[in-house]
Amino acid sequence: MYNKKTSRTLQDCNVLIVDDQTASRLIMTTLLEPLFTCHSVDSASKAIEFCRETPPDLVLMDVYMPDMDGHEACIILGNDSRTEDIPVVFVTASVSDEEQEKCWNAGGADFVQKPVNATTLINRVKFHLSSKLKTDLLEQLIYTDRLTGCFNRHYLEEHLPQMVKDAERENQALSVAIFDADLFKQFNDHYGHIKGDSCLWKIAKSLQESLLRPRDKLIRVGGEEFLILLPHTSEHGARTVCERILQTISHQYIEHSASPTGYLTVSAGAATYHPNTDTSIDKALMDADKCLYHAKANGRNSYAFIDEHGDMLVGAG
Amino acid sequence: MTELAVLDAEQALYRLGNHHVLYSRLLALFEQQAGELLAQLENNQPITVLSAHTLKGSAAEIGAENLRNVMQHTEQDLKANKTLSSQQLAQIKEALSLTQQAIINYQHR
Repeated sequence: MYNKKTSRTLQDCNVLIVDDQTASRLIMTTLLEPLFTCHSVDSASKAIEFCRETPPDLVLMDVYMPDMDGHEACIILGNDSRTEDIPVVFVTASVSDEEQEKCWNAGGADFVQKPVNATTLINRVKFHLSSKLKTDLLEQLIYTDRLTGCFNRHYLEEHLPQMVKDAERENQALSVAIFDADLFKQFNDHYGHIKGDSCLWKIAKSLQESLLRPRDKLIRVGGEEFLILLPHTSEHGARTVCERILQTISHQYIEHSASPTGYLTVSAGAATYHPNTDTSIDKALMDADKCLYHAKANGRNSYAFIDEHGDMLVGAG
Repeated sequence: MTELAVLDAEQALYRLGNHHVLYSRLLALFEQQAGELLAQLENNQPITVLSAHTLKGSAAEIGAENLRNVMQHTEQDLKANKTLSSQQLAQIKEALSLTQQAIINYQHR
């Protein structure tokens, strides 16, 4: 199947070591490097930056650091949807009752006492990584469409509200595009469902490859219907994506006897949600759906979208 | 009160999973940091919370229990904005040089 991931092992896991002290970084890196993939930074602000760009599987966080301390960094990571799922294990010289409370209250997953005991450090890290791997695998299973490997409706329901919130916080346009394979019932009737499934797999693969940014999400919402969520994307950007996808699919040359071109084509509809206006994401989804119907009625193998003035425009790949 | 070890290398090594290479690198790093702090003391520069904290951590890692204890009190006093007495400064110097001598003994054992 497309996008099938083999299970990750502990050795594949990324551990970020955060400590302003050279000696502490040296110890943790030396002890953990043979078992996991280690990275290290010397300040809390660098840790936050690192986590936002390349989220690790675990953070080992020193508590006392100049400028920003470990507790504060942990709270910031916990309040950001990009980093909230990363477990933070504090490494601290002081394990007084007050210090322990602070670690838990900041959202820490655990703590290890300094000077670190090698066996304890390794086993705590192993334990937290194993549980992270299980959670990740479960999430991947429940949010993935088994046939095509793209996200499923469940993912959409769980993650769309957060994407809308992010768009509102950043005041950035969020575009949606719906794609539907043309004359797909005829394809199934003519070639059979096995070929039909294989065709859907190819469509999903082409769609995924047409998305150039990791933040763009592909979701299979129905039988032969796919939704693409495009954060930070205006009407113009959504149109570009539609054009690119129509071209990519037609260049696959998937034989389709009932198609006017002889090959499988798709139609698309797109709309854009602008935060802090009187529209909503639901309106954008309905508009995109209307556009899709319009493209279908307009002879298929085309797309329609709502432009920045609210007018529907039609285009071809 | 029982006297704290000047350098408990055995315990520190045990904690580090008997990683001798790592321990040697920690000793080298400690010597560098101790040298910097001694130079500060010689030049009558004030010790910062951060440099006290750094040396406390490095001392703890190599098993220099006596120095760790002295530096912990130093760090606490500095955090409470207390100025260090000349007696305290002498105590730091003494603990530092005792540890440095113990490291030399350890390396030539």
